[in-house]
Amino acid sequence: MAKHTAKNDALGMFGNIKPVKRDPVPETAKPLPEMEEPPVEAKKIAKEEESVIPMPEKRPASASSKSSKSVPAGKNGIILRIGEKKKKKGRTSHTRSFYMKDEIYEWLLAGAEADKVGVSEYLEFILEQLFID
Amino acid sequence: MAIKIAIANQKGGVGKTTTAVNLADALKRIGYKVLLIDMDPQHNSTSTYGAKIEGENTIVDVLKKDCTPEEAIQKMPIGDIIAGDGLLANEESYFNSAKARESILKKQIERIDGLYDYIIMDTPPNLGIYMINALTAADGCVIPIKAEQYAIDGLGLLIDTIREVVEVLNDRLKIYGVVMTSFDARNRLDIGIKESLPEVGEKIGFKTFINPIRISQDVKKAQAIQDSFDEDGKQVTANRSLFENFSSSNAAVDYVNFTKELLEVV
Repeated sequence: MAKHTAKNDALGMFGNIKPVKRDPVPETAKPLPEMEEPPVEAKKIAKEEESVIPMPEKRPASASSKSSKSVPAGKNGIILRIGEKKKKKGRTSHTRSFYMKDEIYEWLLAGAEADKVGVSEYLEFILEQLFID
Repeated sequence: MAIKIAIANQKGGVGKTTTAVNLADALKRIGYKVLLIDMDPQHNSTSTYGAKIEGENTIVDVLKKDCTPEEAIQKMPIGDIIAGDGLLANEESYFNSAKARESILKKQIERIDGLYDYIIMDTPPNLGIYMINALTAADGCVIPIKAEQYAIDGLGLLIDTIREVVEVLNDRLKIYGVVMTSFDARNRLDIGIKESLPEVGEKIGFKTFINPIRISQDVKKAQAIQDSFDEDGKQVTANRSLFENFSSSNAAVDYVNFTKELLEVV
């Protein structure tokens, strides 16, 4: 038979495969090997290492104030507002992903909404006030 | 218990839906009981199956717990499906702020685990809450990619996301492998990427399925088959199965071989 007519037919191939009853094995998946240098000129987005930032015991000075609304105070009584004078810095283009407790996220969300900014920007502002400025 | 497989890639247009639909169809033809869950707001799997969205329970209703998963299963000529829904796009912020948001799908489909041998999840082209839900619920994932540099570049980000899910949410999640789609054996770049992919896989930590899915117009033709109308004017849902309509196409043969290879690793 000429090669171009001797085609496999998918329907015929199913007859050769028999179903096997099995359950998924609930074992722990093997850890993925550590990545070496990026292969094939792959562009890697940098991943921040997770770190636990302890809340400071002292109350830091609150931000300067021209916000129209106050935001809920945190556990340490920190009230932070983003004032109009605060210069908006451009964010980097990197996306970070991490996990946080629902209560902390909801607190951030309330603060961000009160200042009409995004949650990321509000979080950046808090961290700058506490640790960087 | 069903083996749950997520078809995942944050890049669009790489063949996730085509792979999900054909894998589900192939497993059903082998003799397994299979359910497809469409997690994509674009709901292309749902359109291929001919499932309804208006007036039916969809994946949105399941995730919001407005219905049970059983109440959302539609039995179509190709197979069983829980339909996707454009409303998924609107509801993303709702689910992003829900408690235990990554595990909603996992919890819901526990109810139907015993009804099927395989549950295939078609995911959207982004690393958002629906993809994370699918990866958290899955036993393993298949990553379709096209033969292009951007596809290889994006693999690193996807693998990182999968590592995080394994570490925090689902330690049984495996990468079953990467499958090349729309492979053109006449194209040097395609051949080059096919040859280098196993080496990349060894470094990053994934298997590459030996059989790529060759490019074939028959895939698009099958998806474009229109519903018909019977003598009474009632709409009859078409069977858009690639195997039913174009069983001798390259893609149909390749999907059978891919399914055989996948069954060896699940």
